Amino acid sequence: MIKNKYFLKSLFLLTLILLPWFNSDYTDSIKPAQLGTEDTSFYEINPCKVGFSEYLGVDFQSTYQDHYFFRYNDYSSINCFGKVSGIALFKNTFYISIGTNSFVNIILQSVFWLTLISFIKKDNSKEIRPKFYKSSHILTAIFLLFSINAEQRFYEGMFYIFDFDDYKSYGVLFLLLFVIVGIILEIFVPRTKKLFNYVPFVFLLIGTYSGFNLNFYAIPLLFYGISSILQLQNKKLNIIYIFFILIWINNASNSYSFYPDKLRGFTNSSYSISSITYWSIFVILLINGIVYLIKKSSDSFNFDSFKKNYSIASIIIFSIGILGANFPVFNIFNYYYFGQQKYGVRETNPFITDIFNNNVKIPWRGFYPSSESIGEFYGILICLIAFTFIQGKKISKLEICGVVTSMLGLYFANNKTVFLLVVLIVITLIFTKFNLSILKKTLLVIVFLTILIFIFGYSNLTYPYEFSSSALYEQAVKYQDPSMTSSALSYFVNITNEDGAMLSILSFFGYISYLLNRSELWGIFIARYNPDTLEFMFGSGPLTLGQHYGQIRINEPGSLLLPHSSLLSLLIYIGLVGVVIIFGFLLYNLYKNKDSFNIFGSLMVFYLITNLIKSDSINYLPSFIFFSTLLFIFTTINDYSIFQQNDDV
Amino acid sequence: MENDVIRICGQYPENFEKLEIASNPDFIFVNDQSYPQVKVFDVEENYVFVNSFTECEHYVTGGWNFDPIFNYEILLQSRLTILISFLYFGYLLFKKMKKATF
Repeated sequence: MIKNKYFLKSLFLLTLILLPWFNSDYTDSIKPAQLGTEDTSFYEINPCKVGFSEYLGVDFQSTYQDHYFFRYNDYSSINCFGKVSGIALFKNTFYISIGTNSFVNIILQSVFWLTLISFIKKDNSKEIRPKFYKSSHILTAIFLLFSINAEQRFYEGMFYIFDFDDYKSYGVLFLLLFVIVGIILEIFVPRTKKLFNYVPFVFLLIGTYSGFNLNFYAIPLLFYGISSILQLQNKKLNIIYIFFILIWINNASNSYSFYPDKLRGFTNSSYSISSITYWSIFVILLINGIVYLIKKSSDSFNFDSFKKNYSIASIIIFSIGILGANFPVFNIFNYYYFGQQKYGVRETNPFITDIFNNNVKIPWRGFYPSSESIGEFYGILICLIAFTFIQGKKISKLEICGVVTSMLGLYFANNKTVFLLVVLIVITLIFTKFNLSILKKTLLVIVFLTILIFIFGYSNLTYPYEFSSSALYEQAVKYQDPSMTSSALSYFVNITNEDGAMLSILSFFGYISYLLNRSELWGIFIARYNPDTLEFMFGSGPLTLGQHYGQIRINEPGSLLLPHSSLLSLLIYIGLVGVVIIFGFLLYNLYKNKDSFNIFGSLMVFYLITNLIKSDSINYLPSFIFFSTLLFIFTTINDYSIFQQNDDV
Repeated sequence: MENDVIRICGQYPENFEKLEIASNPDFIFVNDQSYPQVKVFDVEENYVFVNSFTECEHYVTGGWNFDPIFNYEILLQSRLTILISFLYFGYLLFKKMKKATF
């Protein structure tokens, strides 16, 4: 019976993958034309007449040849869904546009992801249904509807036809959202307790809706967040946060728009009162939701099950990254069915190096939108399995596969800091677990120092401090546009001209940035960062980059370059006061639970915080969910004997 | 109606003044070379081509505001929403009945 159920679900999944792309009028006289020559006129004359599958039938080589690019066009009619909406030829490469429609996407993608989640067995206990279920359901749908209105400018380019000024349009959309939220809750809620061990899958099933600035996971989290607030939980946090919201809304006098790009689903696409209101509430609901879920489901945490799922996720992410890079058809299906914010990389050679820059390894992100974040993901799995191994526990074949793919993935992602941290953690665990001779200890220290020097570069460590520490300032000045100077850069210039304690602090900060290879990116951040006093203290609003990227013009390299530091992102979002509160809270939790985690827990917290300082992970919802879950485990839960070494238990 | 004019004819030109066309049987619309020709439809899907914003605005406010593409899309959106709502509420009803039975 159960096997039959799984078979039916698998069949349904296969149908959802294949069927939508067969949409076409097979009775008409229009037959698909093969590309291959430079003539694209047939598809220019006949947009939305040929189904994607029909096209692949006559031009199968496009599924594997590297001069074909498939891209979805969400701004298409429902009738055009799954059909070729246009083809362009640019520099001997065909760009084939496949029609999709935002309204269909939200249904199809939700159903697909929910079918996958439905493979997890239900927990039939009654207490799983949160209080205020119905009101939270309605409020979630209303809140999502508000997001459409708040980010009208973004959605104008995504919804083929939608009258933003007509209340009747919102009525239909509300019904759709209400039903989608309802279906999601029907599948999610009975499995809440079991989801904890499946958290690593958020890196695989990213869950960003095509044509929306919304993520699938945000919906149940918002629901739980609303329910939690209605139950008056986390009162202190929520009251402090309301104070911040008022300041952010009060500050939003100008309007800027921001193209979400790879942050889609977890960033504010504009800087306006309504969008800031939406994203401010979104974040507090999300935090409440995550805390609520962790509290409810952390009891069911099972380290072995977690590692197993982590290994599976890691192997699949690695494999589909390779497939997507080599086969255009996998590339486009990955995007849709895994909910990527950005198409997987098309560079087929993950070993590629920069021949113009001393053959330095070029980061290869594969499936995930950020090579840095996916490197962090692989690094954690290596640490967890190394920890298991050092404890003398058996490593399964699956875990071996997981660790091998993670090592390769980490090498491809070229995240040197993660590599160094992994080595540090493994060596420290060996030091603490085994009673090593002085010779062996010395050897391990030498190995670590050699890797450290290799990663930072011997020459970088030998440059004078004055030179290295001024690199950040020089980069900031380099990117400054002569016509306008940001307040941060002005401050930097003033400090540099004086010789005080602040200069020493900034010089040290500059030196760290140099060692971490962040001088340029943090220099660009300084050239852009233009807060007034209030904004510096309280930020511009959570996940709001519109003002930062729109206010000050700089001589930028062109593409969207994030600050590459979650700490700097936080400074933009919640200001100095917010950053101090968060770190204060974190330190307080570490102190409060100091007896409940040992050396491994401490090392993992160090790993997470170091990466947050030098990467943008906080800006991606999967990373945000995953890292906040891990941080919560390592800092808050007292009885996690699972992470304690055998000797301590 | 103003929204329909903007959607079909484009934004109102600066200093636009609505002329009294209906009361003038000899009125002739002047082609605007800078205005891209627009096809407007009535409810029976009859259509005419208009060559200036003034002409377009006159037709649209006179009831030629039917947009077959727009209406077809809205129809599909509504059908899609009704279909999924039907399935969802049907499932809820089924669940409730099953619970009541057992």
